[in-house]
Amino acid sequence: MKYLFLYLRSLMFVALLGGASTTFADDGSGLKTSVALDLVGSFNRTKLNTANDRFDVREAEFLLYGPIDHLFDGMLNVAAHNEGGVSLFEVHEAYIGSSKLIPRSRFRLGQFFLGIGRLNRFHRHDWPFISAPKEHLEFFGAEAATDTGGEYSYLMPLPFFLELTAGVTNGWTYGHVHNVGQRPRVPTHYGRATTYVDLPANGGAQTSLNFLSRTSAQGDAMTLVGADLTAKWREAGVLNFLLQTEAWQRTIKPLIGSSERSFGMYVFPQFAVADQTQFGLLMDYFTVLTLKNIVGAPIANVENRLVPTLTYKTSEFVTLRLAYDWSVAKQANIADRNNQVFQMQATVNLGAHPSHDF
Amino acid sequence: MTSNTKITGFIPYFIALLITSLSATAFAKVKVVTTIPDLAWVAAEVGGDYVESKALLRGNENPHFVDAVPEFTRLTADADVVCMAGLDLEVGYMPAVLTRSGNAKIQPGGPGYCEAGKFVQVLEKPTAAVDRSMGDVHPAGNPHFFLSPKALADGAKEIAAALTRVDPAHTSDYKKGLTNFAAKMDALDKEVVKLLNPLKSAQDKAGGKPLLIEYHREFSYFLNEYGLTSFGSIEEKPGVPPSAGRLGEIAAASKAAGIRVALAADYYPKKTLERFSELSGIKVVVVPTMIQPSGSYKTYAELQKHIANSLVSAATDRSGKI
Amino acid sequence: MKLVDKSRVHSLIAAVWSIAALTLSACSGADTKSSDAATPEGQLGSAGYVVLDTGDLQRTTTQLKGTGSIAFKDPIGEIGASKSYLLNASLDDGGSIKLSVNADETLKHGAEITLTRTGSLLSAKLSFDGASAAAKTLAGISAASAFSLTIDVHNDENPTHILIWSGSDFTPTKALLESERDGVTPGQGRGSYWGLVLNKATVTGAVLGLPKFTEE
Repeated sequence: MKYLFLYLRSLMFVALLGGASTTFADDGSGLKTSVALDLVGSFNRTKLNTANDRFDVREAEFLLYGPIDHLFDGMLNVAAHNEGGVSLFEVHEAYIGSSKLIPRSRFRLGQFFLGIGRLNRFHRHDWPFISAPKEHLEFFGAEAATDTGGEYSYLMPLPFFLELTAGVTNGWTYGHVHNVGQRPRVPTHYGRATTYVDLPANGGAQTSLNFLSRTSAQGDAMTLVGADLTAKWREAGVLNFLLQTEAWQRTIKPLIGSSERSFGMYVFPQFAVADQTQFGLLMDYFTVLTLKNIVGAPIANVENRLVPTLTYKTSEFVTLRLAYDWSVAKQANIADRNNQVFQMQATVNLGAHPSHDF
Repeated sequence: MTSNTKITGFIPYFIALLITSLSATAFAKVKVVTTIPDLAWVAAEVGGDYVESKALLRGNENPHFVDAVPEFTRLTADADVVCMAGLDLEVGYMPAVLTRSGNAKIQPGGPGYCEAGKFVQVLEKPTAAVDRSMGDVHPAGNPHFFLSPKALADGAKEIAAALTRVDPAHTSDYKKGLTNFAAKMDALDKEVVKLLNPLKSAQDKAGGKPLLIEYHREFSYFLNEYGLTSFGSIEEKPGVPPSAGRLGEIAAASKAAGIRVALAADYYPKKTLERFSELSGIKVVVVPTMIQPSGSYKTYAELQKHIANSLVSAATDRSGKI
Repeated sequence: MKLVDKSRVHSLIAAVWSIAALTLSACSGADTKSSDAATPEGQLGSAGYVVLDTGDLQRTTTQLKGTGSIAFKDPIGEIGASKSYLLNASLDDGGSIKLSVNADETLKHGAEITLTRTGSLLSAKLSFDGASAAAKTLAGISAASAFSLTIDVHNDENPTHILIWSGSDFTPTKALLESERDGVTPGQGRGSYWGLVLNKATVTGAVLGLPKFTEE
């Protein structure tokens, strides 16, 4: 019954979106529609986990956005994910915002991907690799941490780029949650400071410092601090070199029991091998710094991943990828766990022209 | 008596300070930020001393594939006017830049929002429905109008209109600047016509058959301005790099049609152009399509003349004939 | 005169403290002994454990039998870890095994999966901090003989997502119990340790591994 209800709800979403995009496309309202498809095939070579050995629609996303009136803009992002063999739609983002009310400022109110970090601010089909690095999976989720609340960004009046962002959201849920959650003791709140510098030879680099915190209903306080860097060199439309990296530390102080501190980072260098082809290598590292055994002795542990990734773009609307995911999880007194997965991906953009974000 | 003297002694200073601050306000320049350097130059020409203009691009980028770089956001945050070519040329990055700037004046519909293509007589506007199966088609028409002096003069009208909206006190100055600019473009046009005369004459002698081909249809306005026709494009579909098969096919067709020169922007893959030249025996002329303030062609006149001279030179054989 | 008085006072104080210390030592002698006694430990396969409740547990390196509880020495990983547990066991009629995962050192505040035998039926009940979902009979499993179950516990989700299989097809549709399908008890484990609570049960294998089912 539950799945039938969810399926019918999905049909309703599709019908509404289809109707909306047809009805409002040319009426002068400025409403834009776009669709993104993320198709992923995954085949586990070591047979450690063959449950996902198939080619699947990982995500189908509908985006509607445009001006609401002379002051506000709106966005609705609905995406379907495969849950238990059924593609079920859910709202990813639904917010109103404005960059016209307060000088040098923009804000949004509603549900959105939290404006923190690098990957968390981009939809997964726009990532330069196929699957989430371990730290992102652990600290934010398979795609992103999303919540409902408000976010404000201010561009400092300085002779260089410095933008400050702060947000507060409900915090009833965080991460992969399948219910309405519980009122937290301290809602989710976060901040980000971003700067940018031009680099020689048509390059540029954006760096940020990030902070997020929340105390759950059970009294468990979580704090995330991290930094991210994205550097690009583009010449005549070709992304010659990309360097993207994030490093995060999370501290969980439960009301009962000991604190846990984890650290994770990834580095992704990618270079162009031809005008439409890029090769990158995702290097991933994750460790629980405070892991101890039951008698209190520290336990060394680390998860490493190496994912060589080949990307080919037929145009700016279609991206094809092949990747080979080697991961090793090491923990003292436990046999190393090696996993190798072959992955392929096709992402497609239909409709309104996608934004060339930096 | 002494205190009165002290107070009255300061009055001239106050008056001087007041006059200075009023002057500063009165003469605060209009900050214009444009996408391409050519439009920044136009804004400076039309606005004169009342305008300070800056371009986001350097002039050597492929204007179809530019990222919404944070520095663009910072520059537009303080702008009084932001001017784009429009016709969807900047659709990939400027909407994001404008939104993130937090500058209400320059948002679409605001007084400082300017699309120079507004008053241009647009070429190659599709008459039937278009979609992406046809390549990266510009549904509003060809946006590369800035390669024609007369079309650029038409584009300047919207720049002047934007300046007038944000700085009505200098309306007459901007109107005068616009008139002068149009006259300058007229004069430049005549100069370039002279430079291209040998190529035009050769084309006329060939019964109007085209003597050149483009890599991508960026030069439509330039060619139209000077009465030159194009055999088409090396790309089979706009924005789609030609396959090996397409290269062979178009090289053969161009050779058979007596094409003398291929014209390409300097941001296209050199290897593809070299291969076309090898297959067809046709010389390829690679030129910038925008002013490059830090590069070799700092002025619009230099750029126009360079394109013209390069075409004529490439089309001229060893005996000096076209 | 003063000096002599001070030294006498000091001696008196020292005497009083000594007597007090001896007295306290004598009184707590029994407690000290019990706290000094080593916590029983053992090994099941390659996994070391500490005994939380000795009960009547008979322990060898290949099995645990009887009633009692153990907590494995090595942690699962981080609190939000998702793991899979291969459990080989058998139950006396009326007996049960509780697999407690993502729990603290005393196996509290974790996700608990309790397998109970009633006749030839085996049922599973999910619990978190005292709150339980209704027990579900695991179809196709005879509790009258030894059984082998693979149990995924995805503690990175809230509520914790639990799947139980008996075969080697680890898709959600093949799960004998799937917490999102079969009725969820709101709750998420809050620790890094795991262990077993036996009640008239025999365990011949309990192996920690990577989750069998990964959600995107």
